[in-house]
Amino acid sequence: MALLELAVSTLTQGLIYALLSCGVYITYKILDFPDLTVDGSFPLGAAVTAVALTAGVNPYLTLLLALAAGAAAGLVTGLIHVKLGVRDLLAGIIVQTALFSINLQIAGSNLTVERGVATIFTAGPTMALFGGLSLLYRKLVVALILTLAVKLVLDAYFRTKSGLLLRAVGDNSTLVTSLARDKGSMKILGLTVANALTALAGAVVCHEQRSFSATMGAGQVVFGLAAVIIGTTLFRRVGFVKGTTAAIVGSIIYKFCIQAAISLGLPANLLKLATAVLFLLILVAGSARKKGGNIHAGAAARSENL
Amino acid sequence: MLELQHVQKTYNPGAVTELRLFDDFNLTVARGEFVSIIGSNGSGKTSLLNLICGSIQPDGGDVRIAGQSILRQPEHRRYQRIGRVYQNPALGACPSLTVLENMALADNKGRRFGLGRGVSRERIPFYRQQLAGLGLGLEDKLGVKMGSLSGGQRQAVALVMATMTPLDFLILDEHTAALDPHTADRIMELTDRVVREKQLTAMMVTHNLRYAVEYGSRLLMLDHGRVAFDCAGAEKAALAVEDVLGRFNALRFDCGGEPAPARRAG
Repeated sequence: MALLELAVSTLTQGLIYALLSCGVYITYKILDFPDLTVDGSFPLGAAVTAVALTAGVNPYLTLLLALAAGAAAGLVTGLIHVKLGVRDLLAGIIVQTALFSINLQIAGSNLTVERGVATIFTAGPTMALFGGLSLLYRKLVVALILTLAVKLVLDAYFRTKSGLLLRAVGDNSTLVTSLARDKGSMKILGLTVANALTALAGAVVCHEQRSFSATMGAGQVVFGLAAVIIGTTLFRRVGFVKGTTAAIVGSIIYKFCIQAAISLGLPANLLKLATAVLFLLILVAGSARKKGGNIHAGAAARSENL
Repeated sequence: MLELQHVQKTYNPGAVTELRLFDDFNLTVARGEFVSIIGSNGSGKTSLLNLICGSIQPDGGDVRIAGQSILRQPEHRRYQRIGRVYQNPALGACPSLTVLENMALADNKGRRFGLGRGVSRERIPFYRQQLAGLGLGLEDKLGVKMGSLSGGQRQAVALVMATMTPLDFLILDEHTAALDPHTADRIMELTDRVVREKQLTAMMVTHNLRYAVEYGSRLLMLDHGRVAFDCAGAEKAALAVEDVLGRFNALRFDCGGEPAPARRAG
């Protein structure tokens, strides 16, 4: 029974963090932009949420606040990269670093949401719908609904004109220019959406564990990349599986791997080391299978020849 | 009408590798002209196209379309009325999107890319018809990812995509150079047909002297940023490959004595 409960809570974790991996899917897979803002925007979402919950804001509304805060962070990274011409990795590092202080300003180094405060898992509407379930299963159901909702909205967006153009930016930015569109604005849009989702993940984690910690962002980029690469590698040969589905499945698999390692006796202090090793293995395995495929047009895009 | 007036362009100014490419360069292209541009590497062909499209800015002078200077327009704005097909077939479309999605993107050029449906069903017959015109059977491959088509097929689709919306200019940047001779011939025929049917004003850079002679209404030979030879109309129609080759070689002999400055390919 304990094993089942552990599995359910791990699945819940996988679903919640899938919000983050969907964000990383947008930046890393679609925009071809390694966005390090994530390590800052994830705790940003949690910080905003912890403060808002403590101040008595409606728990569902805190999700929107987190989305907005994350969007602002992504917007800043995008503007720094596109308008100031700072390289993608550096733009992300700059904002991530700045966010660490901003998060401290918002919520201090730690903030616990008191027991009496209702979260999205315990508030009235949730109880009205799923009150019959134990907290463990209620968390699973709420996480599932949120993640599915985000997935469906993203999938629908990718089929719009704007969504097609966004997919084109990472694929072949030269084409976007040829289509008389500013590729920079599309990158900014993608980063904004991605970090909004990352902050949403942070918010839900804050609801789930009733706390914010300034260091909770460490390693989230690596987690997101690992989840996306696991998912997309796994479904490489299966054409009809959408990228968002792959990112979600990747997140779940990853959380199960880590949980298995902990259950098998991995000391908590070695968790990040295990994460890094797992990520490396996934990268190597992924690139070994990738050989011969996928030539990126972006790299060879513009040769400013005479 | 396109005008380049007194254009100045120097690469790496002040450095040892300084290269003054264009010094008071002037060119006028009238509406409906199909200009073939030839010249050796470093003669300024690609720079010329990049100056027009806005990938590079001149140091002096003006670039005008229909009498209006376009120098202040950023690159992507200029493409509202310019279509471009690149040497690399991968640059003309998105490899991970399907042929249909690529066609839909091109179809929406110049309009807003909002939250409306990306691929509209009503337009599919039109896309089919456009692709069928290529005679490559691509109209039955709408659902295929662009990246899995051959280079020739991709370049054909790129040509259709670049010319789907109304244009002031079609820019062809060595667009047959990466294809095998047979496919290159095919794409060249298609290009000529599209330019005629849509009555486009086109500028084509090519290293293939035969294409430059056979196709187009005007031939321009560039050398060190100058127009070394320019002929149009009946004179162009009577031109043979040997004539052009002769002039080309004469140019090479002219500067055979002086050491050629280091240049990148172009």
